[in-house]
Amino acid sequence: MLLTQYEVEKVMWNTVTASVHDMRKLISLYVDNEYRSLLFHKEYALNRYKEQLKNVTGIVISDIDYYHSLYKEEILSEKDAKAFALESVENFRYGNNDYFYIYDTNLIAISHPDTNIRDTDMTEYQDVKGNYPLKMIKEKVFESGYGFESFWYIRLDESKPVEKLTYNYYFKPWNWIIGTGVYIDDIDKDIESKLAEILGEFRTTFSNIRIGGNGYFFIFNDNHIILVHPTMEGVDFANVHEPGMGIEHWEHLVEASKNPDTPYIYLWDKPGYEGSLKFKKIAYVDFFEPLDWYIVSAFYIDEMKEPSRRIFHRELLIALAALLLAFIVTFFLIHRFTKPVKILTAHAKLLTENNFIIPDSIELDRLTKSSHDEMGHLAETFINMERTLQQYITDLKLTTAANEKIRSELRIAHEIQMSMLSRTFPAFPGRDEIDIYALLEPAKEVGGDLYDFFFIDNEHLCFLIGDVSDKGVPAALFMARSKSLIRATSMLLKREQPGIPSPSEIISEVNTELYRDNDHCMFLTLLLGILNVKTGHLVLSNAGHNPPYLLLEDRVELIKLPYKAPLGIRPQVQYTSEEFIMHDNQSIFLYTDGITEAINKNDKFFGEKKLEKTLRTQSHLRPYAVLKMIINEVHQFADGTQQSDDITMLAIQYFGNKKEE
Amino acid sequence: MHITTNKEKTIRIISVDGKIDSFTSKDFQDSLIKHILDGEYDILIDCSKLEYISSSGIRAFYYALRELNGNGVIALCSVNDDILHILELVDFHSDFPIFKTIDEAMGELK
Repeated sequence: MLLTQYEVEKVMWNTVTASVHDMRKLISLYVDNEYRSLLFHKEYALNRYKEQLKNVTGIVISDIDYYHSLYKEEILSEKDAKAFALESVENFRYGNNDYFYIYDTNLIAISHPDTNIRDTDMTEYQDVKGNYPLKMIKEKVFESGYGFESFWYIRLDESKPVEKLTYNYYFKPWNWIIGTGVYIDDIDKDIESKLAEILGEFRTTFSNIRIGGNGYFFIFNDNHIILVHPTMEGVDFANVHEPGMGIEHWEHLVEASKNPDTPYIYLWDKPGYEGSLKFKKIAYVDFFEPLDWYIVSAFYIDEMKEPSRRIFHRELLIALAALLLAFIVTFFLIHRFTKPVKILTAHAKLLTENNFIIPDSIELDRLTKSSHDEMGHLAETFINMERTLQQYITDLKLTTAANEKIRSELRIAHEIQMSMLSRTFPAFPGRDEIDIYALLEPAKEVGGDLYDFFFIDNEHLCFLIGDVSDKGVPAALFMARSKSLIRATSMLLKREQPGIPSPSEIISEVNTELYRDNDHCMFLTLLLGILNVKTGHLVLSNAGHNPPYLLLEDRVELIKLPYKAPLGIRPQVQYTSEEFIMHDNQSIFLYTDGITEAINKNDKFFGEKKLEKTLRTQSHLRPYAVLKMIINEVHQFADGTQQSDDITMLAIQYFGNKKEE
Repeated sequence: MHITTNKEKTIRIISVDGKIDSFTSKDFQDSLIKHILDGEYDILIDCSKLEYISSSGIRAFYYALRELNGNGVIALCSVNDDILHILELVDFHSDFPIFKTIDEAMGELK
């Protein structure tokens, strides 16, 4: 029987470690994905700056070129032409009072707003990181005519050096190096706040993932600060000691990350036994280099062994009961049935001694045939019990392995999806112009639906609903990536150009990005709108999603939008924006096909007609009431039939500037 | 879902009976890819017995289209109105020609 315990333990152990490996892989994927969206964000912002520098330098160069041509055509003397050109450069300002400088090829400043620098040889000038900016600029423009260089300066009242990006151009006819620079520390600040946001998302996701009973994931960085942890967030790991060890605990973990697939075993406390460092723990440490993060999956050995111990105890009980039964019968019938009972007890003993796996006993079989009395029945029952037990053990080994894997994947997909959604309502307390409500009911096999809403500026509310083509973890990851891309793109477009970006612009940018690296041809149908909450002006763009409804006082209208491809499958799509006006008290209703394709016991769809009919009776209600009414109707229709896809809805009611009472 | 296939001249005709949903789309995709790898680049999907297609089914079409890499065509025929409605929504016909009948399709594809 100990052998059984050992075997079950081994299967359990393999199952758990396999599932831990899967979870580690998924989490690495998740972290990597968020990191890539961060990089994209940064690259995008940097490119905008570069473009701006290039464009504005182009303007200045064309001015200089103009004066140079006047000299060539002998309209001006060279001295006058140069003087005019210098004057125009000195007077040129753009952006945040940013300016241009000109150096000659000896790196003497011919033009510079700082009088301390003007006419000075700047060859040996250094930035705070020890670079020689002017030497580097000269080298660059001599080599390729123009180019970007970055340097680091300390601003007044700040201790951290900030990056200044410069663009320089070599104007050969006069041997001038013309350039300009901007501080780009706002990008880093932006990235930092984005990173904090991502960490927040990890916290919610990780805090819900458990390995075994109390095992968990945590992250610390190369400065040994714990970033994500169920109880020790923000703690400096250097202050946490392991008993009886030479080097510190975090150093052990860093060491362990060099062999990520070799478990590192140590003693630690656990919930309910805080401070008592006597529980054996296993940790796998993955190092995520781009962010210098150590991702630790740690769990308790005793908890892993718990299920097999339970099985062992149950088996022991069954076996004891069987023995007891056999002995009672033996004593009761000892005079008449000495021999059969001996066979039976011998077999019972053999059975418990041999792990329940012994060949069928011929004597026992004969007994069931020869004795047509209680003894024969007992023998038969005994054989049945033996087979059931054997089957039970085999099944258990197989199903624990399969179930654990599926369960953990579904749970992760679910956690990823739910952590990406805003679920606090009212979403914008204090905004009297609108009321908004959204609802997502995930299917058992997560479908990758998403919704989102956020203010781009004080007046413009951006909202969206979408559906990823696949199911499970890949869909959840694709959904998470899409959602962060949409937010990042809208905010960047808003910042980099005057006015409010149009939904079709946002969708087109996101499409290009999702198309890249999309080997599995996953796609996202998306409906995105921007509502001016002051005027009711509404702009919608659709990428292959079900069209929305406009809910009026006494009727419902389908908002017809051009049919366009979903995001991620075609490199370039001409998306369009359509404009509407929402009047006071009207609502817009968005949904995913989880509603219309909900099925009942007869395999019939809920369908658009029934949706429209339900909406018609409720069109005057508030968003919350409308959505609850619809979901009730869908549940009633399905009548217990399992939901095969996520069900998602979003409704916004517009009140204008006076709130409905 | 049940798939039967036959070949007429250079065109591989795949008839789908039942639903292409998240449970069956992988089989459907594998069948398409198998023919493409065999060098059969012109494929006609006969949808007269197709009951339903989910988004993972649509994904399978695009996966195959990428595999085809411009060397051929995947067309559909005899699509019922409900399915046609779903396909229109995602602008499907811009990438996959849709014909009313199998005869019309065979005429055009030759």
